[in-house]
Amino acid sequence: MTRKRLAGLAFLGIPTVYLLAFFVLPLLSMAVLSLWRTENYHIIREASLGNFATLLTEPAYRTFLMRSVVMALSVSALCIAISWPVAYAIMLYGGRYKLMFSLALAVPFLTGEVLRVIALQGLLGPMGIINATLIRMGAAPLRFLMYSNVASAVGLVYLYLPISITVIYLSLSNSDARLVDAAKIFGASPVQAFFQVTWPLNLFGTMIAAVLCFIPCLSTTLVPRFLGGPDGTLYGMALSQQFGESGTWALGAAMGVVLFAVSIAATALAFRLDLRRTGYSGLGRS
Amino acid sequence: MYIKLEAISKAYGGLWAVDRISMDIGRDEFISLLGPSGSGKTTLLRTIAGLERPTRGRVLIDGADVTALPPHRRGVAMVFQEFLLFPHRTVAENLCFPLQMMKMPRAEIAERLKWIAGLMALTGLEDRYPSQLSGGQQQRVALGRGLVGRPKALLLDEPLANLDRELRQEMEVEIRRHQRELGIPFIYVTHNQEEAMSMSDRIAVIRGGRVEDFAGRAAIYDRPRTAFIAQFIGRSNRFEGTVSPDGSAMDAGGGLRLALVPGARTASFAGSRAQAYIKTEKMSVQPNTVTCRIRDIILRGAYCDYLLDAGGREIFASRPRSEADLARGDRVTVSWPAEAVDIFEPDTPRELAA
Amino acid sequence: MTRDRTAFPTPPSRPTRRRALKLMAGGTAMALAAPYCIRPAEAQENTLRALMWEGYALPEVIAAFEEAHGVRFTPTFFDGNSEAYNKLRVGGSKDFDLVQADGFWPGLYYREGLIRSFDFAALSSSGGYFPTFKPETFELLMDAESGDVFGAPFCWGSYGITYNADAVPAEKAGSLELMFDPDFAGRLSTSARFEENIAMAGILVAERMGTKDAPRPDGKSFNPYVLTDEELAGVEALLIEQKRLLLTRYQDNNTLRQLLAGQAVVAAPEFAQVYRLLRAEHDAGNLPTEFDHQLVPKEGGLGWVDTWLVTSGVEDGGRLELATAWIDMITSPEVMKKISLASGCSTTVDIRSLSTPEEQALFLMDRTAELEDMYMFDQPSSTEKWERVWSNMQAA
Repeated sequence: MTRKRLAGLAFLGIPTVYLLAFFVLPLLSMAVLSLWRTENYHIIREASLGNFATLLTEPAYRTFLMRSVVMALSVSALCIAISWPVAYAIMLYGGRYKLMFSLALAVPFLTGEVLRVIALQGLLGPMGIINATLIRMGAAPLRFLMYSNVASAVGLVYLYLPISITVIYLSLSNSDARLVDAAKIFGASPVQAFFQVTWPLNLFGTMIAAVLCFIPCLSTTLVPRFLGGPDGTLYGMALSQQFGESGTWALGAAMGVVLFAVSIAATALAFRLDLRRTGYSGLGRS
Repeated sequence: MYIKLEAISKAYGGLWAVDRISMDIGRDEFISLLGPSGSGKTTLLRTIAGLERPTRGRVLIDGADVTALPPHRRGVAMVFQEFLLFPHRTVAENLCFPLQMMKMPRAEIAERLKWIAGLMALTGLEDRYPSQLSGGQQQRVALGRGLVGRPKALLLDEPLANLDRELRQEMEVEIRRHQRELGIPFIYVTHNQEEAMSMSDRIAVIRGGRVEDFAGRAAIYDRPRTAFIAQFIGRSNRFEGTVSPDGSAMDAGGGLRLALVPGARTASFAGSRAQAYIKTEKMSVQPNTVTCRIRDIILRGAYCDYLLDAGGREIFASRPRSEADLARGDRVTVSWPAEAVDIFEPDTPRELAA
Repeated sequence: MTRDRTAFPTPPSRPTRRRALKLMAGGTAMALAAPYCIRPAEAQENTLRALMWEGYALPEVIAAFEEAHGVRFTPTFFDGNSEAYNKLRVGGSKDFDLVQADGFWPGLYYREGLIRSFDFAALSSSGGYFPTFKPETFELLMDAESGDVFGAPFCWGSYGITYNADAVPAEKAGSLELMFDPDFAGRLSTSARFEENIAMAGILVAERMGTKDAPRPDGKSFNPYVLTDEELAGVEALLIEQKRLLLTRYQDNNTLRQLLAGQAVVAAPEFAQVYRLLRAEHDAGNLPTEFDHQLVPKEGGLGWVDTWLVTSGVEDGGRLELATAWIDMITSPEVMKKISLASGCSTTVDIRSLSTPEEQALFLMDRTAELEDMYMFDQPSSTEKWERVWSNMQAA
């Protein structure tokens, strides 16, 4: 075996082993567990599709999933809507501080997610800065900000905004801004130039940003736990209850399998777009 | 005049990239803006296009002041150095982009597309993406996109710089042909004097944000107005020395005397220091005398460049190959008519720095 | 099941965060590990291994024990009885020498052969317990047939209702109905723990249905952890009704403390830890509001007694002696006093002689008898049914 083949094996082999060990195996064991059932903290190893039937027929789990999908869609849309102008402004007006701005976006990642959520709870809660200020000014507190799905959405946007801004900023800084000049020369107004050139050329990056928001939002546990309130139970939170509290692991595993399937489906749906239409040139000349 | 530039100036961070440039361009003229990189020629072109707002001065197109108009309302088109085709659109969509922006009816767009694809020899490639085209094809799409909307003027920013020599010469002919047929002004930015020479009606030589000369291409070549043009256009030998008191000759040192054509211009240099340029092809070379020795011969196809050693001084002479059968080390004389000498004031240190 | 036993004098954010992380990581890891029986290393001669609540692990106490016995004490922490139970079931009885559990759980462990009996009477600390917790009266740690004792009581607590005494009249505070009272809509909160929410509602539902003191299907006396399907349906309806009254379900003691102190919430069931913090703040003059704690509502309340148990993997001889020596040490009055102050829990050992009158009142040292009227924390009769009730409530 030549050195080159060995190097090739190592390069492909290490990621393969890594994927197998940390992705495929856990997924498989989850799939197996989802076919069993639990009885008072005992796992009964009888294969059946009972858990999936439960998930299909019981309205509660469908409600959780629907809530999560709606939440993840809205949060992704909000993130994209906020990220675009921010990333665009950094591109246009960042000047020599562009690098600093884009690094500053990474600062929140230096603290843990839990700390950030708890900090938000302090901000949005009844005793939080917003409502405390309102009360001090003699106004009524904003009830919709306290322990509600709106609070969850705010929390999720806050958590995933840095990611989506970074991705869109990277996409923008990698696309050729002179194409906008070309569009303007050929009669496009600034708005037209944006929608004819800038937007489609960064659609791929935007989709990546959206998916990077959507997937974790779909499975979020912490945010609804701390911010969601009585009506804020989302799918991920219900799923983690199966494992952490009620000990109904098999049902939880089935919920995990469904979540995985939904995530894959959503990603596939997002990337059904024609890559050539986004100016993606990695397809080679054919 | 169809396009009028009035004292255009553009400042960048305290420096004048373009410094009081005024030009008049006729409706069917092919104009080149020729200059070294950083001379301000591209900035001037972008100012005409509306991509840059001049710090001072006005741009008029067809009698209307367009200085404040954004690019999309000026009705000019542009061909860029890197083509800047829209990578997410097919050839047809790239070509039709200007028409769509004009909100032209669909049927008319189809007709125009057919016309331009035929004109640019792109028929059959309409559904390809730019990344699937060769460099020359991309260039033709860029040119087609520039012409399809029948603009008031076409601005070309070094459009041939990325093509190889053969393709470039082919495109030179093609571009010139389109300009003639369409009867609109082409303003062509280049640092390549051959391109400028081969296509232009008039050439504006630009240096340090200013126009050194704006004249017909033959005049620019044959009668350079400044020492910069003399050395920038064509290839020349440079001599420095003192003009005799009667103005009939220049003593270039080392026993070399350059005879000068008598006249008012030469007379003005009488008795003072000057520099002189002689185009290499104006030097004639004869064998069997002892004035020079051929140090090297550079074959340029139809002609040769002879590098001559004239008592320590280097002189270039370009002659057709058929003219003489000379070899390295041969002794030759070199001569030139007095009319070939272009004489200028010596470079001042300030100019050298500029 | 996650009982929050954050050591209360320490800054609250740290344990809270760790707990939430564990909730996620632990849950997943447990599920994945369960089918494969992943075990730590086998017992070593000179180590004593315990599966315990983190709040009770005091470094100075551990260090003193290690020095006295020349061994290493290696604690592993868990967040809920079900987690500990699962660990034991997948082979943990060989991986641990000592384990902690509360309520009915020790009995379940014993019946399943996960823990063993030991000579409780031989412990030098066994005489120091409050009468309520002596083996004769505290039946939860004795095998009814053989009379063998398989556990030592440790700390105790209730799941009573802490309320704002300025906002809630005392007569309302005495009943579980308080937690379902529309007069306090939006100003109530409960924990996120599903078992205790259902059990508490179960007491009230059984009381309203009149099935609490009637003969039960299993022939035993009423246990809120063993509810009939009808009662569970009632619980579901009651909990759904309660949702609009709740501001939130608190995740950690610190949040509850802020909500109560800020008067956003006026009543919430909890382990009396927040109550003690709020009392301390009030007594120090930092908090004008007065808070009170209803230990046992009139319909009945929930309570728990933490215990120390010896796993069935421990054989007679040196290892058993070492394990019981730990129990003896940690239930001695001096150590109990330290743990009580550090964790904010009441003790089953009588430490009144070591405590000030204020401490005696705050840690309910004269009210241990009330525990006899409480329903002990237990395993739900069917976690699957209970989970469905909880999910239906959340989705409603």
